[in-house]
Amino acid sequence: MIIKKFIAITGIIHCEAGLRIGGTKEGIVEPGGSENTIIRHPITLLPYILGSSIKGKMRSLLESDASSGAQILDDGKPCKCGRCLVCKVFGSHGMSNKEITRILVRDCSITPESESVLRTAQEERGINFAEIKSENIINRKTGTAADKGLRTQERVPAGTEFNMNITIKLFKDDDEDNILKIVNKGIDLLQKDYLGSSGSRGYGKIKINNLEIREIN
Amino acid sequence: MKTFRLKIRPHSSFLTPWQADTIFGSLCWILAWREGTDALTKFLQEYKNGNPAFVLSDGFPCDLFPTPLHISLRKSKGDNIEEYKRTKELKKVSWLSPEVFESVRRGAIEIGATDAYKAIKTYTTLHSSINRITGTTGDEGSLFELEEFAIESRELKADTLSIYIKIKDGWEERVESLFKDLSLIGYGKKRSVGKGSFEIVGALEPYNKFDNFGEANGFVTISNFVPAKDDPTDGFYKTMVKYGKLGGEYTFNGNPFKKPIIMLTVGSIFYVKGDNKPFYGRMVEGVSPAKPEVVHYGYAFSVPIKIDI
Repeated sequence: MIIKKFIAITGIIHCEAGLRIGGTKEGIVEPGGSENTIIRHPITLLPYILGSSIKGKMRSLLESDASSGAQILDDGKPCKCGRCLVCKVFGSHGMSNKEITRILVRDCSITPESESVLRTAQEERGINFAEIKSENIINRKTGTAADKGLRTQERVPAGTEFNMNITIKLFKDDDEDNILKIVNKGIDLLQKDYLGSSGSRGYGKIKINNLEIREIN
Repeated sequence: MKTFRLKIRPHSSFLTPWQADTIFGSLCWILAWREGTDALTKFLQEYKNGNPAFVLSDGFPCDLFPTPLHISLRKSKGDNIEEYKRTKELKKVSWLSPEVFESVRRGAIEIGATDAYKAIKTYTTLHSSINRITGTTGDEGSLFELEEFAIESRELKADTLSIYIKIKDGWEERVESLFKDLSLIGYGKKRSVGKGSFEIVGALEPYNKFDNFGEANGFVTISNFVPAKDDPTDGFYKTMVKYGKLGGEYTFNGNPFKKPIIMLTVGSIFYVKGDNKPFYGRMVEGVSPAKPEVVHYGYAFSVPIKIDI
């Protein structure tokens, strides 16, 4: 296989709602803080969006789309066919009919502007780069909060922005138009659906601004 | 061969340690994808002949260097408990500043406790796969964890890795272009989800601090290596077992694993009679049961040192 070109897709992910991508609690839970922490960079402790969260969500949405040709297995596992465009671009699960993955989705770092806003909020109000949201369960009989139903969740506040950076690696015989079309569709579906967890109750609505597609020389 | 330094800045954590043989393998795939398999075969033949186009070191955080092994394995001066304690402390020192490394290279074997750095942070992240029918995570077996590495940038006050390269004349531009392509693809495991993403800082810069000197009587390796038949054997070394894997398209041939290889680790030192060579070691052949043509990079990036114990 001979590489034909690299294409970069960049943009700014704007969180229109609070975004929650869960992380590990190791070393960052403070007394009285939320146990359900978001993922943070281990050194700077700044929130970021994992490339795997974006790639996995894009892929699962594209597989659910009838026109993609992907075959979802009965147990809900990803397509393994290795022949459809989703498998070609995102990499096939399993070892059969596998090809080199064409898409590379980088981790998305917080933009300097958003970091500055959240740092100011940290200094002024002690917010640790994330809002803490309390949630509850309603007891269906009494209509009041259920016993032991209260929990707290961390999430990145609405308005926060992250740098999105995707690279597409194209080989000599690749159908460039179709590959770009499916990646664009994935990005479009991502904006219609949600990123992270708890999307059905409003979390994770994102908008991608300044979307730019260019060839890398 | 001239020595150069290439600085890179990781944009994310990485899952695969920056070891010379793995970096070399990644560059080989880029060469094959850019110039075709024939070009790669020709390139590797020169390595098998003992005439490498370039020799790589491992990637080191910021300007730090690995501790030469004789520091902790040196012969005990006495049987007292203090001496044993000191030896135990020195075993934990993995990294040295450029100044201390240079003094050790010139023969010093006593280093201060403050010369130790914690340069790499290891941590785990949890990931899950989405059930395509329910659209949610949390199915049995869908949760998995990955062990990741990041540079301790707060302690080091820098977030770069340095790779040292000895390059044959005329190969400089090609080496730079291979690394540039690697920066577009990413390094190591899980690069399609952004792990091992990095940028090159500046350009290849000539590096002359590994020069030979009159009193040097050995070498320290700053890459893991497999000794060649005629390489020196008297020295201090540790071994590691490398479980290599095939890359690129070869990953999907049904058996992506290489046979385990015993390698001598970074920091191993050997006495040399006569002149120091710019590199030691060899390519290891016959490592892949599925692909007989596959070789494993086992050259040592040698740095002259005075072993005074």
